[in-house]
Amino acid sequence: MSDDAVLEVTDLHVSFPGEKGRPLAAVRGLSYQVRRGETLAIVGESGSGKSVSSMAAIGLLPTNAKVTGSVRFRGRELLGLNDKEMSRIRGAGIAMVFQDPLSALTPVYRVGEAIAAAIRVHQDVTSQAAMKRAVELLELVGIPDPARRALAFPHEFSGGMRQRVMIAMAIANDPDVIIADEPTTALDVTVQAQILEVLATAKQATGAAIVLITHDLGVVAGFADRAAVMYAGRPVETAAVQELFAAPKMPYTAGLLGSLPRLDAGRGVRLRSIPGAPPSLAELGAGCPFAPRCAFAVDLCRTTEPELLEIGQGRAAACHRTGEGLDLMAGPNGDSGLTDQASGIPDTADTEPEATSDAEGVEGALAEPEAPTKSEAAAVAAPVGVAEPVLTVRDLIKHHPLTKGSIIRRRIGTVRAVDGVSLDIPAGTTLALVGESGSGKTTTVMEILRLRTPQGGSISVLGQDLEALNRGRGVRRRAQPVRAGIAAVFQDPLASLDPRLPVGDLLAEPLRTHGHGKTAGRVRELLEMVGLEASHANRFPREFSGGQRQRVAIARALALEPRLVVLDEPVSALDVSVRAGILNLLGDLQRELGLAYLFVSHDLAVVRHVADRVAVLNLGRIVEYGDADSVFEDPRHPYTRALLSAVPVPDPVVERQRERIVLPGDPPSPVVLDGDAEALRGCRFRSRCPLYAALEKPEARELCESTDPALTPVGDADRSAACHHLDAWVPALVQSGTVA
Amino acid sequence: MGAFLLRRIVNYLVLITLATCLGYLLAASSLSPREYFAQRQPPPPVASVNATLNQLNLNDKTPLEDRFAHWAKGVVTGDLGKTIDDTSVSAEMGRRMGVTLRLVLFGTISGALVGVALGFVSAIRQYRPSDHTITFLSFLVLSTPVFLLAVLLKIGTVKINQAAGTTLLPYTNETTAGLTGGWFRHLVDRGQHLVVPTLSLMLGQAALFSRYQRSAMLDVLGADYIRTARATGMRRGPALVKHGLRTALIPMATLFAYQMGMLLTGVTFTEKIFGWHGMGEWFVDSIGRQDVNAVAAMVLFTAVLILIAGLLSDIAHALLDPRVRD
Repeated sequence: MSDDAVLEVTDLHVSFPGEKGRPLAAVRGLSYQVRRGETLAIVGESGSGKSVSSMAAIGLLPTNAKVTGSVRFRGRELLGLNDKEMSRIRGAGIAMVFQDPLSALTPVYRVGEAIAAAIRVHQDVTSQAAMKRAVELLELVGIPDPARRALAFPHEFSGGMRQRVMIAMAIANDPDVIIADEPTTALDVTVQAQILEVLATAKQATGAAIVLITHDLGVVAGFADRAAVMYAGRPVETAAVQELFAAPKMPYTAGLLGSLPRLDAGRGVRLRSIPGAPPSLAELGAGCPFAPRCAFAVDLCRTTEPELLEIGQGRAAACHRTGEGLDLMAGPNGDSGLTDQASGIPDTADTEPEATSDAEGVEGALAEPEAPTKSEAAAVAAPVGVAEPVLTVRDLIKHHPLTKGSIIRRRIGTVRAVDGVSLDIPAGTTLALVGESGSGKTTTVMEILRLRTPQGGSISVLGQDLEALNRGRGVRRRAQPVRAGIAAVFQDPLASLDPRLPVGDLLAEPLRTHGHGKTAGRVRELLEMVGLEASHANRFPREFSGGQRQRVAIARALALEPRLVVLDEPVSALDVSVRAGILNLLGDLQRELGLAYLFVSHDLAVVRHVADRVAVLNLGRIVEYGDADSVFEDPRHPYTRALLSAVPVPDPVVERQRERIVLPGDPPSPVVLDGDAEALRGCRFRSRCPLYAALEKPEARELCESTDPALTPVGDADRSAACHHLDAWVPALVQSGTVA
Repeated sequence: MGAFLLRRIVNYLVLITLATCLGYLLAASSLSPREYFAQRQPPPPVASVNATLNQLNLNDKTPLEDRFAHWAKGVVTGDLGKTIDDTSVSAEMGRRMGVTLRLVLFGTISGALVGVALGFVSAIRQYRPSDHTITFLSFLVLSTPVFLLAVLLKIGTVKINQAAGTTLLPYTNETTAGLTGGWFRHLVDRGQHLVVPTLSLMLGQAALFSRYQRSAMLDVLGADYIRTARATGMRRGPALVKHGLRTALIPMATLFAYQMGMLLTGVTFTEKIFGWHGMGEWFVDSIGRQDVNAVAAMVLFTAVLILIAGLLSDIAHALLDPRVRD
């Protein structure tokens, strides 16, 4: 081993007892080492074994897991240590930062107590001294007013603040290694940027090595020194981050990079999707586990699993064809015969072997963007700009009362979830709603889908004003055609499909509800439309992979031939390699069927890929609205600029050079307490606004403090933004590297 | 704040009033105090029966509305009427409440503690022999009728007493009749009498709580925060107790408050079998004696207890769980 490696994992294997006594191999031969001050990223999708391997390293797997190989921490073998010995290393030598800090902190203890408890596990100090240290740590990770906040409970913190607490706990005993398992996955982009900076601070303060486990290549590009890509329990490529992104040597890595929607790419570019889905561990065969999805696979790949072989200084790849000099990013040769995208939609071929019910339908094997197809050409001819709007929203308002107390409930304020939103969606186009959590995206969508008279403002769906629709008699009957014309697809397909109904019934249900007699033919048609097979109608949702389930949800949404489809985070719950296929499918369906999409997402790269126009929401208001290309290329509102700048670009060269605006604080809450008139005065973004903070003239600041900016046209007719100082020249708004 | 508390209390008062009135009307229209007197040997003259019934406000010849009005007027001024044997209902209830409280208090508290401990062990050793044993025993107790359990305990006690050669554990009545000695002697005597009945209550409570605690504990066993605690270097045992059990106790508060409320309204079998003259015994006997006022008072008592239990459960929940505190 190299002398300065603090954590060295060698040939780690982890298996769990599976069905019928056959062990499930979750990790199959992982080796890595990290030095002090170094960051190693372990990249992979669900089931790749990346989290299991880290839990194995700190000995926290369930007792039925079988772990072999070697994990050495500062030269000491950890595998085989008993719980007492391991407990001395956990937290003190190797610390963890977990995903989803809401569930990762015990709800009944104050955060200061939790950190103090972590300190006292390893250090013999008084509880006062531990508490004092806890407050210092909270300050270090950027919790404002730490002495007071130390007494708060986890539920009183936002997600970002809780993650800061997690990091404070992790560095409490000055560890040598910090393993961060998806530390920013559940967070807003603006908060993700903050947390990565806190992690960098923590690394500086402790000099620890960081093992960053993530599925997000953008985070890897900006943060890690080296990366190991895992697939089906094995490392398939290891390299320095720069080299990995510049020239991936394993088709899976190349496919991942190619399938990422990127903020710096244009709209509507066809993503190169990887067909199928990550394999289930129970069904691994003898060959390369990626072979069924690989455009470059040859016969050898299907029979023999390649070893991870060193191919250069600190580089290794597990691919039989590494030495052949293939251009993986350019896609396979024309004769590889796996591309099926020439026909545009539908994604018909489903070449999955019957045994692997988990596999995804073929979604265009690493296919190059094709020349415009027939349907695309048709769409170009369609007069998009002049089409009558399928959705018009004017000054929509939705406020909830905020109550407090469990024994005695009383109203203390108002949640201004949606506070004056206006939108238009012309037929056949996509409008994206973007914003952080709490910005009112989902509330807006739900108000539209309810088809009820809005609390304030007006909504008109397919030319039918909802206020008028809900007046008078026979509302249900009259609402029927409107209801049929609008459909929705939600984030989690497993949760939104009834698990007890076979897919055929799921698709027939909307048809029957709306009085269509014969459904079998339409069900078949729908399945084929979304790239599934007619024979899939007898299967249950759980028998499909995530991507296929989302296809079923899309098919169900399309059953009644809607003209407007609301897509609420449709790809957020899916694996990276599967997302591209769904996004391509949505694009194809839109062109083919002339659908209008209301696309809600927090993922700006995805929005960049799909949206014709975009509305940026902050605190229930639209702050910037307009043509997507124009907004993304030249954002005018400081909030839009900050949002865009917070999105990591999956390119280490770009990512490390670009200026970044880090917004201070959390996404603000839309709650206005009773009697707090000040909260409603002036521009509501100003507490976090980098532009406001940079304004020098008092009268300019005064304007922000006194007057709520209205949405005003900017530049070309189709753009508007709500800011008093759109023309103010502001160089770097906030220095990158400032921890708020 | 005051206004909201007031609203809640008013709400409770309405519920209690409604329950009690309905209870009285049901008792007054279905019980027949006249029969109680008429069946005496020798049968008393009708005139004297009527006189007694009138005096007790129990005469079925008086219209129900009038009897109800008379009773209600009394209740408002704190007078719950007379029992059929012409004693004060309030005084009787006051005496018996103390008896039941003494019986139930130790039984439920110890039962809950034992049950929580058993449930905890059962959960962290899921599907192991100890879990199977605890599960089997708790179902055995839960499916044994209380009177059978009590009788079995009596038999066991007899054996113990025989083995000890003295009445180590008396199992009837609250005290030994005609006991002489200082207060300490009396206290020990009461304690000895308490053991067996308390045990009979405790077993059932422990069995019940162990089932609830087991499933609550299983819910939190896989929780991320236990993993976090372990990752800071905490050993498995302390992590399971400080982070797991502490959180899994929250739903138990509600169960405990309502169980306590329910049991206080009368552990009829236990009282009957062990000769304790508490609320449960009184309720059954009152129905047998066609004692309308006592039954109505019992309904009032039950309603008050259940609502207090609800309030206590909310308070306990808020104390245990900071998420609902503010």
